[in-house]
Amino acid sequence: MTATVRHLLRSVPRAGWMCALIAILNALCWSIITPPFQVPDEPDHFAYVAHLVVTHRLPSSSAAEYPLEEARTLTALQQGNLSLLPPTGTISSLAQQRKLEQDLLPVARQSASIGDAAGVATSQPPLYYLIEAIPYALGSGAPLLTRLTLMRLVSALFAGLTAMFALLFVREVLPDTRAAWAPSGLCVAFAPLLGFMSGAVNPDSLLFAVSAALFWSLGRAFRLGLTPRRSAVIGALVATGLLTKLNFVGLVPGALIGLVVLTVSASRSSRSIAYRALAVGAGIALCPVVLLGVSHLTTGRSLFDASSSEVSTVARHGSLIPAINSTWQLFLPRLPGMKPYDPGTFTTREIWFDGFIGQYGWVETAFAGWVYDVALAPAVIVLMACGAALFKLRAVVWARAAELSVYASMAIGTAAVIGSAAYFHPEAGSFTQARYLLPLLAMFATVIGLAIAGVGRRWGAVLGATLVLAVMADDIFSQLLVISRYYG
Amino acid sequence: MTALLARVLLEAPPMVIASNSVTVTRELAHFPSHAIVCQAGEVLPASTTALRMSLIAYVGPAVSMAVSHDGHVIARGHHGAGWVSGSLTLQLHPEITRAMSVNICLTRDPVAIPLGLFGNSSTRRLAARVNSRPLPGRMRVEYLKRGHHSWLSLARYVARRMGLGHFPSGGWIVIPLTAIMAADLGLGLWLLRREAQ
Repeated sequence: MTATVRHLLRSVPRAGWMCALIAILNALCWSIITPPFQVPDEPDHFAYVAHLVVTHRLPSSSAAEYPLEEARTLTALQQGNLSLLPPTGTISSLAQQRKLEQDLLPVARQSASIGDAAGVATSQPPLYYLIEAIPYALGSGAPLLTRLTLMRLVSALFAGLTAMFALLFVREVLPDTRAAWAPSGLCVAFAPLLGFMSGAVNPDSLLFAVSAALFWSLGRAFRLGLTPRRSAVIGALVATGLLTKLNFVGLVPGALIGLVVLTVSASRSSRSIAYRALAVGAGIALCPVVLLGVSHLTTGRSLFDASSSEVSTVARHGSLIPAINSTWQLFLPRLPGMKPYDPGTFTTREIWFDGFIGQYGWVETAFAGWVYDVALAPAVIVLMACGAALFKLRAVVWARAAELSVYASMAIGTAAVIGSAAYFHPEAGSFTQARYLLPLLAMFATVIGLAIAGVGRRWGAVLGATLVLAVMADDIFSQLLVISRYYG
Repeated sequence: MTALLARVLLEAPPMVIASNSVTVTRELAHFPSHAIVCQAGEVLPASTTALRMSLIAYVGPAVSMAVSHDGHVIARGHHGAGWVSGSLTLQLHPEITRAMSVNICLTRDPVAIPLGLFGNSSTRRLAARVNSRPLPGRMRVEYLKRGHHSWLSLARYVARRMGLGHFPSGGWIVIPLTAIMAADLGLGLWLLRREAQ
């Protein structure tokens, strides 16, 4: 086992390690720049970890009531004003800083008052929070802001894994286009939204890493063939994802379809090994679901209470067609004959593209409109070059159609989860944030890689370098934007 | 990129010269399509170049503004759709050259995007109005003018402020931050060059 791990680690190219280091450093910068609790839902995720460490139980109430220490910190930091009113900056005087430190001291000494609530984080599975419990516990004697910094550092490490697995995925799916590997990995490592989210306490950071790893494991199995060991890795990653964040559910159908397609392919050489691999992978992948069922049975809850409540929500809305229609329009331009759901908004551009280029804080800190217009130019070039590559490689594309449809179904699954949440639960807040698409970062890296492959060897290096520089520029100016927003 | 960075750092950000002293505490109303929202009694200082209104949208529609004095429109502003913010800054054309009391009227694109008017409670007489119907209060408005200090000249102030409300605290944090950013970019460029070779 150790030898296998050692072999796997050795097989990571140096560019992969470098991309990981770069992504970690980038997320570290973001963690320093972003004021405490100015990342979506960070107060709730922090409260979840605090609850877990103090009570050794999962939170059960989704009320926005924070532990006393956190509530006082949020007040002292003027968190409410900061997140609602962009013109308001962070605290600006030493007197305010001293007051903040004084406010925190008495709470640090008294036994922490922990409720049972963790806001929107309550419904999330516990894996990320269990990992974050380690830095929280290590800093248990220190003020809250120290613990928050330690926890953000752990999140930053996941950014490294995301960039590394994105590069490795590109290597698996484009093994003959070596020139595309490093630029693709670098574009992910410097992606400002990845740095921003991974520089904060938010399970998205682990979700992005696990999702990228899942893409890599599937890509590897498609290239080298399915074995019980590779299937176990896929299953373990699916299980890890399911224990990380609910949004991961969107990737699961695609991953399971991938396992079946791989099994069919492997069964041509050895049927018994192929079926054993499928059983191992699917068995491990579904472990969290079985665990959840057992936990519900032992606590006397209905086995299917969560799913039945979702079914009743869907039933209340009547037909599924409007939900599909709304989801389509959330991501793509409206087709003739469709009922308009977001009239006046070009969601593809204004939510997803603009959000990926740069919207920070509680999605209220954005560049001037012309920046997004300028960013459209390289995006269009990339898409055209990517299209050219797919046309040029059409024979390969056709031969690998099953593999591509697996990745496509993972993307559709992710979009379906976001779209259905936005349609069926509009009261729960906004699900329309670009960060929800970052589990597909490995696919973004592949699009970059294909674009580089599409323009040929000579221009590929130029395009790769240009794109990396563009993403670097986006990252630097995004950091300056956030600095000017909060500290200017 | 370096030239663009230099340009940004040498640019003077607009500064808030005054506000109408309304603290935002609540949503007053939704801004309906095809409606005109007006707020009278705004005393604009001389050299006001832009107004920042407390309008909140997830993805905002286009908003137009007319500033009038004694019944005559003296300046206009417009912001296109697609903005995200808890406030909206509208540049005035032309800028206000002398202090005066004005009436601000806003219109929006007639699309179904929700847009909230935020502010604080006030008497009916002072309240903002939607199609001449009074709202429960007034919106917050901030008056901006061109700044005189570039971001570069404000660097010390920004650095000092970055060190507050954080752990570790202290303006010195900017030095390791800059070093990490520089190292990160350097590593990226090195890797790019190495792989290209």
